[in-house]
Formats: sequence, structure tokens, C-alpha cells
Amino acid sequence: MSDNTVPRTDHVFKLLVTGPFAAGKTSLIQAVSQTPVVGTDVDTTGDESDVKSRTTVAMDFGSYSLHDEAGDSDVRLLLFGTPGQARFRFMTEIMKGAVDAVVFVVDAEATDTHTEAGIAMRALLADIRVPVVVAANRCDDPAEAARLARQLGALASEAAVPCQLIHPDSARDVAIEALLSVLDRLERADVVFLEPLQRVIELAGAA
Amino acid sequence: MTLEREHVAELFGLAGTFPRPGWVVLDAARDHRFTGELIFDVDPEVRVYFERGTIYLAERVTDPSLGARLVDAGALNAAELEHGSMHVGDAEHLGRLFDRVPSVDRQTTLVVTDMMNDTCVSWLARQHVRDVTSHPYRHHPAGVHRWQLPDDAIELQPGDPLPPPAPTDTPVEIALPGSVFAGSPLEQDPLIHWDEPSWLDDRTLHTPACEPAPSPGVTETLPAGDWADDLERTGLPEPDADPLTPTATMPALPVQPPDHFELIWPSGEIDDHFPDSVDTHDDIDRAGPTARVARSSMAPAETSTPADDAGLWDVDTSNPSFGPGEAVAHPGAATEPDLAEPGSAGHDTGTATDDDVSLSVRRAVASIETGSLAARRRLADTPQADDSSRGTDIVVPGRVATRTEASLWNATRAETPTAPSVFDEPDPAPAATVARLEPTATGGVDAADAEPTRVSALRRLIGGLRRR
Repeated sequence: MSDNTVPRTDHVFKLLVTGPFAAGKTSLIQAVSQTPVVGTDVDTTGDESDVKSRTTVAMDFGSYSLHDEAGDSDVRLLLFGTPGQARFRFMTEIMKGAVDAVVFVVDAEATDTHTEAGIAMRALLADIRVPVVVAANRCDDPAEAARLARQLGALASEAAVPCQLIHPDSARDVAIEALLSVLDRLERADVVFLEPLQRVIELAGAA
Repeated sequence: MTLEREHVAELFGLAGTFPRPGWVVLDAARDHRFTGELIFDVDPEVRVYFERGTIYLAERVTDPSLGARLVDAGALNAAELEHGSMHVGDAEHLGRLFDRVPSVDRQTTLVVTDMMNDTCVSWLARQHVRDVTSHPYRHHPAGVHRWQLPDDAIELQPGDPLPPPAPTDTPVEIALPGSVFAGSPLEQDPLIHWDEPSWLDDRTLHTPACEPAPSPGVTETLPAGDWADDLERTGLPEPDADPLTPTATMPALPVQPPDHFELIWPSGEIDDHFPDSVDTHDDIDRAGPTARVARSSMAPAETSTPADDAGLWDVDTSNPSFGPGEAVAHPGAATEPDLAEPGSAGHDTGTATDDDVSLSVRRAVASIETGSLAARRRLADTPQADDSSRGTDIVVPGRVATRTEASLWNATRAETPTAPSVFDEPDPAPAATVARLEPTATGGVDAADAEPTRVSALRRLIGGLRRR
């Protein structure tokens, strides 16, 4: 400890990466994580095998650590990824506790998943009061990403990031945007997280 | 034979008048107390469902299902919808939603549904309707009409507020029964005379209306009372004895003075010794015996100051470190009144402080204060050398600090330019801010102090990710 007035404290920030099936959640975690991602991927079956060969059935876990040169404290970023299938949604219920932000990944081109994704996202935001960032995968247009986020139920104050999660840099931009949302919440005492009904009114007013 | 479209239009008095504004049709359906489904030919098509002229659901054909919209609105979650709905064919029936999932907030669900209906109906009212198709007594396939409870079927749970009375209900007049003593002189006397004879005795009427209260601690006998009092003292006559022969009079029972009471402590100790007389004074006897505690337990009169007169229960609202309603003693008082033990220096044993009532109440107050104010003050008054386990900066503790919106961290940050490089190098401002916060009146590090370091850590993390 270099300074007696400030005790050594390790800070941990947790991001929940969730979204529908085959949206790019595992790719995002793999791009950000320094450590090998702890995954629970298995071979897909049925119709899902037409989309991709393997899928997450329990969780993905990745981490990113930053050691302070002064040795005062370490900062760790933990990324928890959820399965995308509705039948594994109970894992989201387990992992959503004590997270600092939610990254909701959605494939902008898989329009057939957007309705279900919107339901899942709003159900999630009804239970937790943390910043949410909508990562519009396979999308390059910020306006299109914002439109998709509003369609899913995100408020205008909630970030929407167009990204290509197959590129690690783009994935890190999403993580940075989520952390900036956390920073904004820490620094602004006037940020009020809306109740579900308030969100409906806000969305209706925006429409 | 089915009801043709023209017949329904005639029923509403709208035959041959289309296109009409939507509100005209809605008003006609309401006026006719229509029950069923009306399909409005607008773009997109709108279906409105009525129950005796009241709209309970309105939706466009392009809308998602009602359950999905309720989940979208946050009134339900997906699990509640899954458990609460019954799938009959292609229909998602929600009529038993509240029965199948009691945890669903019925009021929220109804309010959200009403909001969606209002949005749709208000839009429909502004449209020009090309035609209307009606299906009397056809309800929405989701069974939403079952959500509408009749007024007399409201089920109240324990703790729920009572529903408002119907407008036609007459208020219930609660009147006290007439007094059986009407006209009696006793009824006109508002005072209660504990030791007076019974009203059944004629002699009562000749007694003075208000007698002086007996002196405390003086045992006295009951005055001559009614026949019941005599029976208590003489007892019943023997069965074979002459009822006219007076029986032996039993000794009078002692009657405790009305202000005699006992203090039973949790340990089982009983304090029942109280002085025979109570010194009263208009200035100090503010609210009975306990009111004298603050004054009598103060420092001697020659050292008393006006500030000391504030007493134990006065609240110093000018000091921001104390919350409203928190009992604090004057910080400058050398001998704290609530902590001075009986017989200690400054305790005047020759005055009213000998009052055992005062002492008993003081003990109770001191017991309450031991865990909070007194303990903290003792901790602060203890010399630092006596306790090596304590920190270096011990100040007089007050209320636990609360974080305000305009924290020092925010003030410091406002002066710090927010450039991209702020993520590359650790910001020295947080450490300086924490150092400044150390000697505050909080006497320790609270949650608000840890936040700047967390913000700093988060900035470093963002910077690290950007450099990567």
C-alpha cells in the first residue's frame, strides 16, 4: 500500500451479456476477456443446428483485469453471458443479480427474433435497475441501431451501439459503452431508473 | 337467422350514413349498451369489444397479442404469462390469469390494459370509418371480459382499503345511547370523584361536589358509602342469625392513594417507595414527576446557563450533524445530566433530586440512552491513550453522515476537464478528495467515501480497454 490514507481496494464490475439465440453474446465475451472464456457450449440440435453448430446452454464467463502500477488496487471486469434460448431463461434469472450493467445483444438482421427479444429485454428491465446497452450486431448504421433499440423497448436515454461482434474491436466498443453507462450512473445522482409502468408511459410519449 | 350488418346499423341509427367519424359509432354503441364485438373498417382494421356499452378492449389487427403487449408493458413477465394463459387452439386465453397466477398485480394489469385501450380508441375516434361489422355477444378470444368484476364482487384482502360507498348510500349515524343518568346532578358534574360514595346513596347528593384529593401515602378508610360498601365491611349475616342483628364490623381495608404505583424492572426489582409528599413548582413541574428529571438532574444552579436549560429532550436543529428529533445534550456541558450517577459530584442530594420517582425515570432514560448517545459520548470522552485500538482522529460523533447530491467529489470533478486522456492516466483528484474527506465529522469512512475510488477504478478500466 503506497498511501496510508487510501486503503487497498479491489473493484469489481459485472456485466450481464444477454440476448436472443445466435445474437453474438459469446463472441462479445471472447473478444473482451483476457482469460479463456469459461463456456458451456454444446452441439445444437433441431432447427437451431441450421443457424449454428454450437450453443451456450448455461453460461459464458470471461474477465478482464487491470492491475494498477502503483499497486493500490486492482480492477476486474467480469462478463457473464446467458443462453439465448427461452427454455434456458432461468439462467438469466440467476445471473442477473448484482450486475452493474446489461448488454443486450441482438442480431439486427435476424428480424424474426426481435419480438421475442423485446419481450425478454423488457421483462429483464422490469426486475433490475441498471443501465442497459443495446448492441445491434451486424449493423453499421447508428440510426438503425437506435431504431432497433427503441423497437425493443429501450428508452431514448439508453445507449444503442451498432457493432460487428466478429471483430474484437467492435466488441470492446460495446463493453466500453456499457462501462460508460455505469460511470454515468455513478457520477450523476439525478439519474432515475424508471419503473416498468413509467417506461411504458415514456415509450408511449416518444411514439 | 343471423343479424345482418344493415340491421345493426339500423339499430344504432346509422344506416346509410357511412363513412362516419369513429366517435359517432362509439357513442351509438355506448348509448345502446351494446355487448359484443364491433369491427371498424379503417386502416388498419380495429376491433372493439363492449360489455353493456363499456369498452373493455380495443386493438388493431396488427397489434401483437394482448399477453405479449402486457409483457412488453411490464405488467407481466414472461413466466407469469406462460403460467397464466391457457392455449385453446390458436387462442391465448387470459381469462383465468389472476386465478392461475395470484402474484400478478391485478391493478397494474388493468391500468396498463386501459391505457392501451385509450390509445387505440382515441385514435379510432378520429378516423373516418368506412363501415362497421358487429358481432353481438362475441367476446375477445383472450377472455378479458372475465377480468371485469361486478361492483358487488370485489374481494377484499386483509389490509385493503374499503371501497368507497355508493353515491346512493346514506351515511351511518353513530350516536351514543342516551344516558341513564339523564337529569341527575351527577351527570352535570364533569369530574370523576374516585373516593366519593356511590351515587346510589342519597347521602351522595349532599356531599361536596369536589373534595380535595387525599395526601399521597396516607392510608385512609372509605367514607360512609352505600349498602354495598357496608356489605363489604360487615359481610353477609349467618344463615340462622337474625337479619336485623348487626354483625361484627370487619376492620376497614386500607385504600391506596391514587398516585401510588410501583415500578417493576425487568430484573424483578420493585420500586414502590415514594415520598409522602411531592414538591411541586410551577416552573419545573411541567408535565408531572418525569418532567422534573431534566431540571433536577442538571448541574448545580450556580453553574447552570441558559443553554443548559435546554435540558435533555431539547433538540438542537441548528446543528446539521444531528437529525430532527434526535435527542442531544448540550455539547459544552461538562457534567452531562443524563449520565451523572446519583451521588456523584455535582449531584445535589438535598433537593428534589432525592425524589425516587425522578431517579427511577432517570435510570430508565439512561438505560435507553446507553446503547446510543451515552455510549458514543463515552467513547468520545475516553482519552485516546486509554484505548490503543482506536484510530487517530476521534471526534465527537454525531449522526452517520449522509451523502448529498452536491458531494465534494462532484464538485471536484466539475473542475476537472473531461478529455479522452483522463482514461489513460489515473486521475489524482479522487485521492485528494478522499484525503480531504478524512477529518470530517463522520469520524470514519462511509459508503459515499468509497464511491470516488470506484469511479476512479472504472475510469482506469475503461482506459485499459481502450488501450488494448
